[in-house]
Amino acid sequence: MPRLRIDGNSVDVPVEATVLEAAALAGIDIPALCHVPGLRPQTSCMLCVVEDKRSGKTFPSCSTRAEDGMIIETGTEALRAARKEVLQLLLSEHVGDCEAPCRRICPAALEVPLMMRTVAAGDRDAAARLAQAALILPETLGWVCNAPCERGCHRGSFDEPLLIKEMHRRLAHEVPSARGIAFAAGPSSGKCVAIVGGGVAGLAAAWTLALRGHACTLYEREARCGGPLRDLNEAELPRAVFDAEVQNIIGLGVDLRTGCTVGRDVAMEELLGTFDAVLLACQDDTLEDAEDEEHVFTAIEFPMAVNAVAEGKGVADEVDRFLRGLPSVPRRKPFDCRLVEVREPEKAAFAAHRMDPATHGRGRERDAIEAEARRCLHCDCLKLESCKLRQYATEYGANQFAYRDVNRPSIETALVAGSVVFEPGKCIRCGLCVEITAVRGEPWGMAFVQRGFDARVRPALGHSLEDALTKTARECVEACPTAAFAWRDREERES
Amino acid sequence: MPRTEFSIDDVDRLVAETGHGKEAVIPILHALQDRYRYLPDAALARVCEITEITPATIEGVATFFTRFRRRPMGEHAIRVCDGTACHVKGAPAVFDAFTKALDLGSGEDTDKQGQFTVQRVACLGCCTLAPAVQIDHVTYGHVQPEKVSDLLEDFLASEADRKARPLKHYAEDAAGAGEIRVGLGSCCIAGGSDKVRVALEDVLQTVDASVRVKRVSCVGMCHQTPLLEVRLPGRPPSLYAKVQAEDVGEIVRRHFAPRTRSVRVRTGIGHWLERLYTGDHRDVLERHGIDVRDRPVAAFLSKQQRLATEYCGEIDPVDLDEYLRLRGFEALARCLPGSAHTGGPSCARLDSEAIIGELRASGLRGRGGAGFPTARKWDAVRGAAGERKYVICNGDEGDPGAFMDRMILESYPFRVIEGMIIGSLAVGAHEGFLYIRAEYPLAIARIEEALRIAEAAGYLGDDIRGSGHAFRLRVVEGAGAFVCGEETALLAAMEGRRATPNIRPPYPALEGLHGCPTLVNNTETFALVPWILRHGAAAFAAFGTAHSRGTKVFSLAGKVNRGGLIEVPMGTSIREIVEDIGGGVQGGKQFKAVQVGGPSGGCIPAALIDTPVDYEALTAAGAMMGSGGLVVLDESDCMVEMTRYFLSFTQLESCGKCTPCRVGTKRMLEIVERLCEGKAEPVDLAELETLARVVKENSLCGLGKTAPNPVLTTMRYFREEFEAHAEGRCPAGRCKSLITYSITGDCIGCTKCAVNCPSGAIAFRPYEQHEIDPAVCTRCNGCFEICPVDAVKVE
Ligand SMILES: Cc1cc2nc3c(=O)[nH]c(=O)nc-3n(C[C@H](O)[C@H](O)[C@H](O)COP(=O)(O)O)c2cc1C
Ligand code: SF4
Ligand code: SF4
Ligand code: SF4
Ligand code: SF4
Ligand code: FES
Ligand code: FES
Repeated sequence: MPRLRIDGNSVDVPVEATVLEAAALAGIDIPALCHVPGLRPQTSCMLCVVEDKRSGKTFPSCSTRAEDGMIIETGTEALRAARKEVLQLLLSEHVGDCEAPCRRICPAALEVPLMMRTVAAGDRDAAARLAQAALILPETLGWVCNAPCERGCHRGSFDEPLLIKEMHRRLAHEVPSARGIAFAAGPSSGKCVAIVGGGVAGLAAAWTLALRGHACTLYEREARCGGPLRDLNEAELPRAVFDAEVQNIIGLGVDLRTGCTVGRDVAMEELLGTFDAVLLACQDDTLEDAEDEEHVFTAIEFPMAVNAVAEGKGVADEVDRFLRGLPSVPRRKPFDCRLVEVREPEKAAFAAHRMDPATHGRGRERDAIEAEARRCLHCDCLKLESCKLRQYATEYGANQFAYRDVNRPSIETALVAGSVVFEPGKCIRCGLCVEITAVRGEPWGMAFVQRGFDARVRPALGHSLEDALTKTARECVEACPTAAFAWRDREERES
Repeated sequence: MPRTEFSIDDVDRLVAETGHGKEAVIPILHALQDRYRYLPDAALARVCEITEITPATIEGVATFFTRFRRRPMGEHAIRVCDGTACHVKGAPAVFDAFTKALDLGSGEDTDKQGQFTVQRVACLGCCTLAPAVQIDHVTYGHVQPEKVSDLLEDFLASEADRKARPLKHYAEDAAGAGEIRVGLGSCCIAGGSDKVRVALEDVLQTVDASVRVKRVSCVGMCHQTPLLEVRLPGRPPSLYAKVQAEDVGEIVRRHFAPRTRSVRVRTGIGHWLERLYTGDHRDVLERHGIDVRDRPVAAFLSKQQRLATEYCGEIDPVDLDEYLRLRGFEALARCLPGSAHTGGPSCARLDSEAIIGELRASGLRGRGGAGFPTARKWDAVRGAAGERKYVICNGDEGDPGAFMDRMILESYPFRVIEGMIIGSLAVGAHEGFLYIRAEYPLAIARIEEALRIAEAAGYLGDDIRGSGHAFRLRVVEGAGAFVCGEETALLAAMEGRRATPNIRPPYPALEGLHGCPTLVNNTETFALVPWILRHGAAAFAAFGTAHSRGTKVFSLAGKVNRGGLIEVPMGTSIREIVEDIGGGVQGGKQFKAVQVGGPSGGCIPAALIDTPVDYEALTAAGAMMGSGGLVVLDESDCMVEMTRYFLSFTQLESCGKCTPCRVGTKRMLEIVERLCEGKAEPVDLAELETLARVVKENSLCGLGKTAPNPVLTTMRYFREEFEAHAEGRCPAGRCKSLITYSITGDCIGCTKCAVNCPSGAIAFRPYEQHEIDPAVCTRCNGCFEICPVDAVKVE
């Protein structure tokens, strides 16, 4: 039984074990894209490289036997740098969007394609809840937002962008029940927070913190909340709409003190002494000194309402972590691959499996939100959550555009067979599907064709995807480290 | 020849002739391609129906190798060599010239009539005749871009009467009279030696003397081909170089009495022999009658030491009797159990342990590149458990700019076979293969002929020379993939899979072909074995340096006066090779660097010219022994452009299995291309270096691990050239986007440049100063080369 050291831990492993398996026994996870247990290692991705200090050699751990006396390092600076580079090489030719552009652009991160799917499926309630959860002021934003999401909408390359802003406005307006039913303050945390400033950021923070069970007191200098939104006229933002949405927040049990200026009507010291945390969401220089206190947080009241919502949510999150005694590590933004644009010659290939034929060539549907929602191309990736490439790219901080002047390959038409989609542009040539179809005895199977940089996989000898995967569809989808093979019925993110 | 239509019966018959097993896939594809000149889908599908080969495999293999085509191709294949030597001698211009001559649009490779298909290939193994072009099985050397139309005509004209006349075998009793030796290696044939031989046989009808015509192994002086040597008893041999068919009569009549008077009179008229001696020019080609005692020839030969290439230029490659007379198979005889042979000197029989002991003492290291101790490998295979074992000779030699193995296979087939038989005895194998690349048709033919002869004489088969040892050998033909030289890829190809390498360990010595212990050695390694056993380990170890014993064969090419195949003791300095053997740099230009080891190697700069050739010294200098290609570069060669060339080679040849090599070489190439185009920025240099290190450290096989070497060495020694390119300057004036051509006031109005310009960028104006239209100029350098007064300026 070989005994070796891995990152300083001594492990005894079975004779045939690989270094990767040995590491797993020691509780150490080595990144691997082209390897799944039960199949021959493909040794293609080279993400699983480790170093043997004894020999000074670097090698892929998935296909190297663990030998007695090895001194393995799995995470040296050099190895991490190499993995990052390898990921960047893969990403430099990756063709796809992780997040739909609309979702990526929306500062408040509204799951636009999911909202569209939900509406198209006829579930307005759920869609409205989704918009409410993300935007907090979905109807207000439906009036005032400048809708950067729509400028990035891929449907715009075909006819017109989706009516995203109008969609959440109408959902909020037509399904008011979604608010009351779905949202209630969480169980009390026993903590209390003072929020100074009832602008959009302050409101968004209050909503977020209240939902998490913290007792919020919101101080607003003016008689009404809303900051710059107060100055809009009825045509720009009907007063009733905004007031209803503010009421919605107050309804969660937020103690609103309007006409109360901190530093004049109530001393800052008092807040600092009374509350477990103070969130400054106002532009008041006199309060600056307080910022040095450990339990004081600042949210910027951005002029664009949707940015202010995003800011309020984000800072509230920090406050929440602080109150729960969690370290304030800023969560790394998940890696997000980008197509950037759908080029003219790529349009047909891009739309092939995405566009509902009934909406083909049709511009915006202003009358029925369901009809409009059906125009959505669902640009988000089918394996958004489980894609290993994305997970590792996030972990290693990989940059898709690390190499200058690289033109990504063109979008290729996806192949569809029943419930399975094969998107060649997302394939990293790991070889697993070729291996699976071969060992399971598929009559045609997936083939590697060409070599070198041009190597790619596709159904053998020009056959259809159905022919290639008569019995291995599930296995291929599950093994494929990216969304090159995915279920058509996408995995939705837990939110 | 009309295109053959696909038929099921046809395919069935070809398969029946070739085999039904998984490993038959490459031979079947070769057979189909020979038949249809491409691989029709329907034929591939049919093969899958009637064999064990799966559709995924057949398509994977058919698209992996460059020899196989999925598109119909023209009647004749024009393969323009873009190997290193050809590249530096202007192969890209030759390729463009063919494209133009055949009027091909972009992306097209076949002319409208379907007569010719043009392909770029890596090294035809005729590097000294660079640039080289192969049309079907005919190789042309020194091809000039402006003459490609003539070349095509010549090919079509001679195609009609190319019914190759078989070589006459002359009786041994011709001894006493004279002997005329014709070099019939690929280089010589590319130089035209086959035509010379035919002419020679015709002319010999007219002379009295009984003269024996002998084809001989490559002389190594490939820069002088075709070579013809006249040997008369009691007289010093006369060696003629660059001989053409029409010259043969003159040469013969100079040495032998003609039958009739009238012929003698005619000889009086031709004076070209004199001209040959004075080095006069005739046509464009320069020709010399040369004497082995001439200083240059002596210099070429004297520093050399012929072990692997023993009897170079003297023996008939496939004459077994001669091989035996020259102590061939003597080493084998010592190794065979119950030897039926009278061995050489009274030496004890060598059993497997003793054979390996002898190799160990000799210090022999593998000549395939990495220099692994041969004895250790043989010992591992010998000790490996397994009923079946294999011996494989690696004759894939894909390094563009190297042709040692080709020459050894063509010239000394018996020596390689003998080495392999000894290997089989040492490790206990009964089956072996020679994997030879398809670009070497002559080597394949010679080896196959030698195998037949050896088998007939009992040197191969079930009971070798009554010893009871059985060993059978077969040739396996490659299909165009450099990575196949890597042993695990080679094994994959032989097993009928895509030739992608596997991680080692397990090493082939333990788990090789079909999982059995397999001895894989380079051609030259095997060729050295008989010499070592015949002369003893000590004699071999006496050559070379402490860790690199013996000799090494190099192919010397590029900008050197005397290119060719040379064999020198390890430890010889690069200076001795370039200056003494090679006669220095061509055209009196400044020596800049020598590229060693091809795409896995690196450039050794002039400052390090005293580096000895030995494994460790070359590696320390950032290069690599590799297979032994030496390409000499002069001041007009741009190091960034050279780097681009090597990277584009490895990038194209990457198997595509592992990420660092598949994508990394592409990204590196893009950066270097930007440098050559003047679109780079200084930050690119740092990025290039980082990327090169990552690819080197993290690739799966030797191809990817060494692909960055050319980048890293050139950046190490010629950093200022890279920096200049990042600023948009090409100091050597090579990178087309960074240079312009103009004509100075020195122009005498001779019109040569205007006539010669392939793109018509120079207006024809006799006696006036000419001008180049920069918008039309393709920077082919033609005007620069042709101008008699050096009035063309490159900036
Ligand atoms: C990319 C690559 C190409 C190679 N090409 C050759 C080749 O053409 N001929 C050869 O003998 N060895 C070649 N090798 C080395 C072989 O893998 C193997 O080491 C060699 O055949 C062993 O023989 P030796 O011990 O006699 O050198 C190559 C290796 C790599 C990585
Ligand atoms: S396959 Fe992975 S990396 Fe690619 S777009 Fe989808 S989630 Fe992003
Ligand atoms: S088509 Fe749908 S998913 Fe795509 S960008 Fe537009 S709204 Fe977003
Ligand atoms: S499609 Fe196949 S080869 Fe490509 S990433 Fe998925 S499993 Fe790997
Ligand atoms: S290093 Fe290159 S040639 Fe070798 S396995 Fe990787 S991709 Fe293939
Ligand atoms: S997991 Fe080891 S190389 Fe991909
Ligand atoms: S024949 Fe062209 S480089 Fe070797």
